[in-house]
Amino acid sequence: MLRTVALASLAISLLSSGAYSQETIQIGASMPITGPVANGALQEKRGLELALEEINAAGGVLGKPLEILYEDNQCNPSVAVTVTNKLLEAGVPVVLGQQCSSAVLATMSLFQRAEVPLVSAIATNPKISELSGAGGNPWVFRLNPSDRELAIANVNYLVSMGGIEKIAIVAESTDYGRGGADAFAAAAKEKGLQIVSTDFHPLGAPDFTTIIARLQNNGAQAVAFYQAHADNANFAKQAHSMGLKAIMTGKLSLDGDTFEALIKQGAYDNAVTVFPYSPAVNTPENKDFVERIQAKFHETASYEAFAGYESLYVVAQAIERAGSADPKSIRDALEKTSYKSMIGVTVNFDDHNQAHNNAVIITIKDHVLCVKDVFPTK
Amino acid sequence: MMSYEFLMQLVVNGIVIGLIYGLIATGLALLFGILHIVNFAHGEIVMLAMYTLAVAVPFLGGSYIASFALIVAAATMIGWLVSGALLAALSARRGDMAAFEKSLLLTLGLSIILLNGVQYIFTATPMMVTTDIPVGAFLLGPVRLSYAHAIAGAIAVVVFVALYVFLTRTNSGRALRAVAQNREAALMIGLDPERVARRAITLSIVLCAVGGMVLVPLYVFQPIVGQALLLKAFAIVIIGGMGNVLGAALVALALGIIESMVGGFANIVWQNAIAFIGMIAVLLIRPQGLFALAMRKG
Repeated sequence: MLRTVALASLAISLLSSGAYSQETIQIGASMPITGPVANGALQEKRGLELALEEINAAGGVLGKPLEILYEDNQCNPSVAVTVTNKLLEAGVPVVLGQQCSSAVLATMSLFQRAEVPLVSAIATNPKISELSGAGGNPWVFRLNPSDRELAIANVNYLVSMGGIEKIAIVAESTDYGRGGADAFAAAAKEKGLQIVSTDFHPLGAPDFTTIIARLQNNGAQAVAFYQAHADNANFAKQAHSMGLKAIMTGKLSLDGDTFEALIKQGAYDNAVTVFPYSPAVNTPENKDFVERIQAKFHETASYEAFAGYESLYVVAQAIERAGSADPKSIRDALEKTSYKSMIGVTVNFDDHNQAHNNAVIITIKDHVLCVKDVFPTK
Repeated sequence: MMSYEFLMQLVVNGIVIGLIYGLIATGLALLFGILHIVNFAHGEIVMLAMYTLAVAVPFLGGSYIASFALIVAAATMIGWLVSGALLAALSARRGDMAAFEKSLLLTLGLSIILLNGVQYIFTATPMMVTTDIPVGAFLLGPVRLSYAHAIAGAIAVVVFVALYVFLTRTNSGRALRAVAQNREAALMIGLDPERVARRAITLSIVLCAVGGMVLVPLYVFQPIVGQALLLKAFAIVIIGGMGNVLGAALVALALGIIESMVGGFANIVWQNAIAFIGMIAVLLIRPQGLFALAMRKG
């Protein structure tokens, strides 16, 4: 009996060491490949695949090609815990992702316990950076600005437009939606704007007619959204056909074919958003990136594609600086990150492991998207 | 901010969504009533109809009604073929598992395959279909009704009237109800249970397809869209009485209106809880369901 077990475990360890002997550096990537946010993973994967191709074509990292191990967290915190454990057991030295704030928050402690770094490049809940770095979890790094910084800029812009006093909030009932709603409400209060209603709906809810009827009745002049992009597209379509007049604001992803079609129909007219990225940001590097994504995937680049692309470069450069694919050395090297982002800023992490990339103010007038400003989120 | 206009708006919104719930829930009730099986792939059939319509519309010059009619015809044919295969798979001759247990595993597997298959083919990019139904709304007294909602409601009403006439006025429909009420007695008077079962499955699939297709002009959707709808349909069928088709239709309509009211006047969070609170209450107080007056035993 004991011998069988010993033989079996020997066989298993030989098999699994086979995977390592291919001389690649494996990087974990956890994202919502299925479920209500699956489109986000589709986009992120495009950015990752493009970066992977370029890095490996240029000789890989430390002379070895990179390889990405994908796992599907379904944007569900408990599934995220399961697949994170799976990646950690597979021995990856660094993990990209989670994409959904709830999934990041649920797994942060796993990374600390396993002493493996997580690089989060999409989730925006402000708590993530509050809990990271100095005095918190030193293993979690965030590349994208949090909803606090974005909400403050958003409210400031709305105030500068003049005439908007009553704002409603519509958000999904997740850590993303609730974190965003809190951040927006705090920023609005600071500027003396009145929040007339806050509605939380389940992620992936198909029907928004009741919320729209409420918004048509409560005097809201603008509505701040913190929803998954697909839910927001669905909301915009329903609001447009029901004739909702309030200005759409908050976090609006406006890139990709579906959003282009909605914008053309007028569903997003007068919308204002402060967002971490836009393919319309006018830097040569970004223009070039958008062209490469378009050529390869026949759709314009989105926030997730951008985030996936830059996060893999940040990690690849950290491994290169560390001189080894060891989790501890990668973590230390990540702290010294100095990466020139395609949207114009050199990204470093502060003592909460939070980077301060640029963000973008976008408006839509007469069916046309316009980048109003690109500003630092420091 | 309580006003007559707002109240009427909520009622009308609720009626439309309730009618759509009804299309989806009646198919589920029919399957349980006639075959005593549960269909976990019901939501995926709704979704499949939505994606099929999305493919058909551009081919038919954007015509919603032409695409709709074509898919109803296709769903009828496919439904008839599927019904034969499904009955064969569930037949007692294969394995020692009862038809009910088999149906759980079979339809759950089917649901996973359909969901992931559609995501594989169409990707998870949010799907928006532009049809010849105008975007926008018109005024119906004090109420704003979008064209898409009006058409969805009208189609559902026509389907329910047709379903009612079919079940109560035609021999095929009476045969369906006879088998649902008392299988043995139906056999004794010479009804062919297999034929009746195949009709029930086909009808269920067509109802599902219609339920999906009326949603297309309303929503931007993803492959996961059927899942949320299926959970509601289950709750409706349980509240109405498992297997009671007309009960399911009435409960669906009531649920639509109550949800709209609760969402409008209380917190939106409660809106989605209503169906399940109702389901738990019914299971505690009247487990056979609200409309299960003349249910057969066993």
